[in-house]
Parts: sequence; structure tokens; C-alpha cells
Amino acid sequence: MKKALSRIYVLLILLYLYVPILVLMLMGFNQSRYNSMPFKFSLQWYQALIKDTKLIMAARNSFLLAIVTGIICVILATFFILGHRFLSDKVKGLFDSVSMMPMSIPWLIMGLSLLLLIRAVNLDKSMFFVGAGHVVISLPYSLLVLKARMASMDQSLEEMSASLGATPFTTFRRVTLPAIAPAMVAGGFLSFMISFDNFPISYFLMPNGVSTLPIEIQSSIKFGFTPEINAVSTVIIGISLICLTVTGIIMGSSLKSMMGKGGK
Amino acid sequence: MSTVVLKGLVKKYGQNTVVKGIDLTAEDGKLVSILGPSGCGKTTTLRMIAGFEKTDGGEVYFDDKPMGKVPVNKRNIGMVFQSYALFPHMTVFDNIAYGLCQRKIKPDEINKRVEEIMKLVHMEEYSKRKPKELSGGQQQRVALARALVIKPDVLLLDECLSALDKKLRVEMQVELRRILEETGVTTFFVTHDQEEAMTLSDKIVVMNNGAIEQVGTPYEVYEKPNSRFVAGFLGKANFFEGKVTNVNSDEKYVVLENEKGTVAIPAEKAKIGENALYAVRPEKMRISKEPKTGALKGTIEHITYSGNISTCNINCGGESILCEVTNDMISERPQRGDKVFVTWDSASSVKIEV
Repeated sequence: MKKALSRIYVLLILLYLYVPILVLMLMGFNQSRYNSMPFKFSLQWYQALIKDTKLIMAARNSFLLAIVTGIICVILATFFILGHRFLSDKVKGLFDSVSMMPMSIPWLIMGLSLLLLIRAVNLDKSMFFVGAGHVVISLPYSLLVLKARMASMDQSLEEMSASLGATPFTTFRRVTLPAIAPAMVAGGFLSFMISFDNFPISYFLMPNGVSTLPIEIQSSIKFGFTPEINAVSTVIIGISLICLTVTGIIMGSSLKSMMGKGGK
Repeated sequence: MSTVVLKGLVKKYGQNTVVKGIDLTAEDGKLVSILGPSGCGKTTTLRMIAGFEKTDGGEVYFDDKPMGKVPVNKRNIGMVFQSYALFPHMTVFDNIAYGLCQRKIKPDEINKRVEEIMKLVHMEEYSKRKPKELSGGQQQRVALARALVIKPDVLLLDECLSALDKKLRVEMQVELRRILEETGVTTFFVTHDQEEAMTLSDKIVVMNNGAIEQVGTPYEVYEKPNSRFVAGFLGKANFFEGKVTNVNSDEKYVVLENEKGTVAIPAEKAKIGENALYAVRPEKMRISKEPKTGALKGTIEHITYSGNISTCNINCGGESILCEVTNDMISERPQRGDKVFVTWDSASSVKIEV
């Protein structure tokens, strides 16, 4: 009885989480323009999507922006955690709170404040600032993952490498980097998703005539929603799932090898 | 291989001085154990020899060469940590070859030396395994091989046996002794396990509170402890303390007076009127049911049977005495409540300077 109840409980949570997404994906394959029943399978919205250059350009912008953001975040976060260990506890605490702050500031306010800053120094909106804004809000996610990995890494591995005669650079390349590489991939992926998904920062800082996918979706809803949006959303979900699976495999196998020490 | 000398080594963490001026010499090819309770500064001392910690005073010498300005990776040391710290993403072979690769040695030579050392630690069949596929004892051997293959000037072992279970630990102690004798490398061995230190060392250094309490051979530190701490830390000891009121040099006993009363114990070398502290090892004591001159009379309060020996807590007029008797006779085992006489050879009473 207890078991059945807990199963129903889990099922309800899963339904709550995923039914909206499933409906969205399903309606992308429905012929009706107004997402209405009865369901009639059709690929017409996907066909429309391929021809919709505006939407595709926006998607391309979003991808490029998210990739650049992800890479920059991983590089910054890696340098951060490498230096982080040599700080005194007091400075460390300060750095930790400051670097995590963007997570707790609403993106709306973040975007607005960046816009005001640019205006105050008489600069124009540009892709550069959009990217800068995205890095600010995505960095904490990369940091979080990398810091967790670094904390669980056996510090004596690096000392061991040094004792065997390796220079600090060799130690980094052959010991530290392989240990944190999975976290770099995972952290980069997280930052990528945050950037890809972001609306407020892009909205405030995007120069005229350029748009990202979230902005394009938002404006197309204003001018009449078509299941094309469902189709593009489904594609994005598909890509996310692939990325997630790949990350999971990379993380999983390396986690197993990390667990090796002390294991029987 | 080198003679390692520590001169006035000091380490401070903020206000705390954790190592307070250590002077120590490890002769070429000798195994020196640094033994002490946790927090005594033994690991910090080892880490200063390795170069992981900067010294706040004093100097480390390898064969008269000061090491203060030499970074870890130029010191030519072999290190084994308690966690072994095997590189998880490398095979056994690559782990062992790592140090040789840093030394720009030719691949043929690397192969040869890695194979030799794997034979020495009996791991030649496992060269392609990853560390996670090895047992604790095997990981231990790989860690040791990796430290030894570079022919280090000094080998530093940090509690490296304490992660193994008791039986394996004893096996590895024997193995370690054999390997170190074959390689003849100067070794520092940090441990909190006194039995391990006894079995392995040429020299034991007992540390407490950041300072050396005593240095000597295992025999010396066990049989002739120079402080109450050393006597109590290495094995068990009974202490008798008080003002000497009478000395009988013919029958070799000394009468001590303290707040609990007077007690006569078999001992030598005391002057009337001085305050004396004697330590007596429990296994040096004998108990019998017959009265003897100079023996302490008492009642057995508690017995712990542990196979080869029984440990008796005997109450001798307020003093609780720990006494170990060998269970050599099945029939005559002491029982709780027995009235017994405890005696020992007067030479077994070690006088500790106070």
C-alpha cells in the first residue's frame, strides 16, 4: 500500500514536470494551426520551419552566442578554481560570495543595469555586450560544477606529481586537467544552456535587427502563434537531450575512474 | 641515497608553532620512524623534508646540500601517501613510469626499470590495470614502486600502511622491510602505530607537541624511555612516583612515599630524599600466590583474556597495576578476586628523570 502510494506520488510529480513539454512536442506534429483536436499527424510545421530564415538566423545567433559564452565561462571558471586554492580562507569566502552573486540577482535587473551602464558611457548596444552579459550570468554555473569537482579531487595527486619531478605545468596538464575535464564539459554545457535560454539580457542589450531564438519566439507569439514554435522547441529539446546524454556518459565514465582509489 | 639532516626545523601556522625546532639525522640507508599522536607535527615535519611546506626556521640537508630553495620537483624524493594518490586515469605501468618520464630517460630504459621494479614488488602481472581494479595491498605496492623506481635520495612514507587491514598490514611490513633492504634507500616513515614503528625501524623518533621527546633504536625507546610520555605512548606502562624514603641496595628495593601512602617496589639507583618516577612494563611483572620479599600484595580486580596472554588489573593498596601474564599453563590461570603477590626484576624498573 505504502509502496503504491509513493509510486503514485512520483508519477504525479513526473506528470507535472513533463506533461506540458510532451503536449508541446506533440502539437508540433498536429495539422491544426490552433493546437486543436482531433490530432492529425503532419510534418508541415517542420517544413515551414526549414523555410523560415528569420527563425533559423535567430537560432544560429543563439547557438553561436551560447557556444562562445560556454567556452569563455569554462576558461574563466578553470582559472578561478586553480587560483582559488591558494587564497586565505577569508579572501576565499569573499570570492565565493561575489562570484555566486549573479545567481541571486534577477536577470531583468542585471540586463537593465548593463544597459544603463552602456548608455552612461555613451556606447551602443552590441553583440559584444550581449555576450558579456551572458558570461556574467552563466559563469556561476560553470564555477559551481568545477568547484565541486576540485573539492572532491585528492589534492595529494598534484603533490605526488611534483614529488616525482614534474613541473607545475606538467602536473596541470597530466594530472589536474584529466581530473577536472569532465567537470569542464559539464560546466560548459550548463553555461551554454543558461545563455541559450536567456531572454532578458539579450532583450535589453541586443542591437536592432539582430535577434536570438528566445526573442524571436517571444515576438512571434505577439504576432500570432504558429505550431512552428512547437517544432523549433522540439528540435531544441532534442539537441539538449543529446548534449545531456553525451555529458552524462563522459562524466559517468570519469567518475568511475575517480572512484577507483581505495576501492576494492 | 643520502644522509638526511634536519637542523632546527620550525613550522608556524599563524600564531601556532606546530614544529618547534627539530634536530635529526637519518644516516644513509637507514629507516627512521617518526612516531607520535595525531597533531604532534610528524606529518608536517615529513612535508618539510619533501618540500611541500616552507620552513619557518632551520634547514633540511641532503648530503650537506641545503634544500631550502630547492622546489619539490627538483629534490629527487620518493613519496607514498596514506591515500596512495595513484593517478586514477593511468595504468599501473604509466603510474610507475611517470617519474621516469619527467627525467627525460629513454623509452627502452624506462621499460626496463619499470619492469624491474614491478618484479621487486610482485606486481608484474598487473601493468595494464587501472588503480581502481587493484586491491588496497596491490595499490600500496604500486605506490611504493612508483616512489622507488626513480631511485630517490630519500623515501618518505606518510602513514602508508594504516589504510590496510591488520593482517595485510603485517604482511606489508615484512614486504616493505625486504624491499627497502634490497634498495637500501634512506627512509623516513611517519606513523602513529608504535608496533609498526618497532618492527620496521632502525631508529625511532618519538614526537609530542611539535618537539622530539626521544630518539633511539626500538630497543632503547621501549626499554629505556626517558619520559612519562614516551613510556606511556610506546606500549603500556605502570608508573610509580613519590619521594624516596628508604633504599635497600642488597635486596634491591626502594620505598616511595606519595599521597596514597608508601609503596616498596623492586628498583635500583635511588637516593633517599629525592623525588623519583619509575616505569615498569606490564609484561615484566610476575604474579604468584606465595608471599615474596619486596613483592606488592594485591587483589585481581579484572582480567582480560586475549589468547596468548591475560591482562590483569591488580589493586595494590590503592595503586592500580596492569600486569600481563603469559597463558603458559591451562590449569593455573589467575581468577578475578585472587589475592596475589606482584614482583619483578629490579632492573625492569626504569627510572625516568623528572
